[in-house]
Amino acid sequence: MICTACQKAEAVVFIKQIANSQVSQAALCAACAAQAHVPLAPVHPLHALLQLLAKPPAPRARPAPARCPGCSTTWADFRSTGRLGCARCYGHFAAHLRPLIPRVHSGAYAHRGKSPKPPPATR
Amino acid sequence: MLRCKTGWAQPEGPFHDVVLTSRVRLARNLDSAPFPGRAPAAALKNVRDQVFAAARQTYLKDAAYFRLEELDAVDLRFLAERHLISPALSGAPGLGGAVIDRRECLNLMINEEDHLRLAALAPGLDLRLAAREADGLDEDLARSLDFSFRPDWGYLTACPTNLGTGMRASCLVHLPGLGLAGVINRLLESLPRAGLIARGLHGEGTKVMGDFFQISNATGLGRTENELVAAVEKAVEELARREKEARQKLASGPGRMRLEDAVFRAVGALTGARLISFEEACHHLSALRLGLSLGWEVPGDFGLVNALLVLAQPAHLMMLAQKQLSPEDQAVLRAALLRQRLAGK
Repeated sequence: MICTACQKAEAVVFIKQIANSQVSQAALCAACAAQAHVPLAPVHPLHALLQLLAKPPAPRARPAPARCPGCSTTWADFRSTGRLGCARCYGHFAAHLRPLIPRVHSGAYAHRGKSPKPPPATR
Repeated sequence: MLRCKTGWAQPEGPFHDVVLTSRVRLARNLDSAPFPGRAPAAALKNVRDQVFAAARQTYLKDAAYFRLEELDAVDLRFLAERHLISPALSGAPGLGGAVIDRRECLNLMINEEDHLRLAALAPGLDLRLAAREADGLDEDLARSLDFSFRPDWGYLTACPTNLGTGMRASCLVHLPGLGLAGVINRLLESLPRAGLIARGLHGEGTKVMGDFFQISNATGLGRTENELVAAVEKAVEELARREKEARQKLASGPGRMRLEDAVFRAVGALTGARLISFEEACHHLSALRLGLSLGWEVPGDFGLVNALLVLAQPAHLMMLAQKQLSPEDQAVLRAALLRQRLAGK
């Protein structure tokens, strides 16, 4: 669902307010929720990611990289949806993703699980 | 499919009076195409064809294969109600696909947020069995599919929160005792400290109904598959143990009459109502299930109650009636189904 305030980003907070017998509803993205001082429950990893992405970049932050050459996704696209466009995005945006990943994975920054077996042609 | 008991309705496996099912899903993407949110139609069709072809080389060769754009809205909702595709894919099937084995214990969901989500299901608390099944299928598929992977970040997914193992190990649990004891919120709020999360009956963003929750790992990076399974299993086993204690305490303490009243009122509603919503049915079936676990003389058994939790859903009722039903007609048919089945008909 799209944010009812900015009409752009994905809504992550759903509010139902009852005042004087009048019911009002709103669905806000992380950025608009922060502006409206609505606390986000930092439970869902995607919500945590969108909250991080909604923060304005620090003054000395590195400039946004160019579009991914694999799928044309921009860093702004990723900031508004929380989704990358293709596997190459991970390499292309690696410098920006590297500090973000541990923050949505409880501090973990490296894979420790299994690896795919190489396809038959390369074995 | 309607006549089959779904895998998740089987009253078997360890702690089956508290844990209905254990499920392990793995998120995978093919290196050859952009993720579904960015891929053009031709690429999505190609991904689906590749996954179908790969699946036909595995244990899933005799499974049911669905191109979701060929199904109508009721079929799609039916698959979502059986946890075989996500509610999101059911609402916007695009060029999605599904592969479902006869027992409904292994299934593939194609072109949702990621190219492939493979899932294995086991009754009761048996995440290790589900993990073994999922791992076996993953290895078989990897023989013909080239999965996106980086040694540092693992399996690459559209959303970086699913990165790493791509694994979500989850258990569907029934916790009415802890709810009545007033400690459920405190216990569920403690889960994030162990890297776990609680969701509603149908997963992400869904409502909690009838004290049924899904407990799963929150993220899948930085821990091995076995460690993730062990963490969820440990937490669910502890919840199940506390739930059983809470049930016994409630049944033997001063609140027993109130509990009996709640359970037998639920039986009254389930066996007498003429109109009943799914939410209300869930609430009463939850109380009936609690009565069964305490060995009380209530109608039905775990298998029937688990099956009714599936069959009483809207698309299942429409499949049964073989036509579209308004919410009121659904409520009438649901009430009749509950009365008949609980009377042993």
